[in-house]
Amino acid sequence: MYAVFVAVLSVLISLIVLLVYGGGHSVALLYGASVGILSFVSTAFTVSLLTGRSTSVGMMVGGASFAARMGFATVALGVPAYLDLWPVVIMLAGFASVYLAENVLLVPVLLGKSRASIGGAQPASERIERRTEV
Amino acid sequence: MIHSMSYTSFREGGMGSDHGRFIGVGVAFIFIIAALTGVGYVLDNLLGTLPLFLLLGIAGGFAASLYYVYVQLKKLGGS
Repeated sequence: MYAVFVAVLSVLISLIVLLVYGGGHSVALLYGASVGILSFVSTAFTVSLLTGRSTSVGMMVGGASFAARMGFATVALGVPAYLDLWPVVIMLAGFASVYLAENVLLVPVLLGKSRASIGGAQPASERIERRTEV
Repeated sequence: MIHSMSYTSFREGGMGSDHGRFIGVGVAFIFIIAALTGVGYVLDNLLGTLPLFLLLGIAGGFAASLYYVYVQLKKLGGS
């Protein structure tokens, strides 16, 4: 859901960049953001695969997916940079901003969840003490 | 006898069976990316659009292979 939100956001931003800076910058930003989203979704897939698995299998899948993700990002960002297709900095900015946006979106959710899990133990001042006399 | 025992342990899903499947999934993962990248490169050479389809092939191959690994490991996990 967050990946879709970030994808829509990146399209909107690239439209603004298209109006301000022109086509090349816009395509570079959109491409960088697309690579970032794919990379981020692969992280989410890996995490969902690792839940409930043994440590050795988890380490294998985690290590392999990490290497594959890094390889993909290197090739997908490296080829346009090597061929000098479009501005490299704005492409990298699109890639990095996906991670930034996902973190900004996800941190409040994670904080809420952790607060809810801690919230089970209420502070002593808010606890109601019930005593019965036998 | 030894042959039949190892065959049985393979069929029953022992350690060797899992490793074999993981290696197969890993090889397929690389093959899907390489195949789609290759198709993209050939298309680019035919149409003269280098590197449009090459980049699409890399991204599409990564996404497709990721989905493949996800489905296969879900099956292996039994869920």
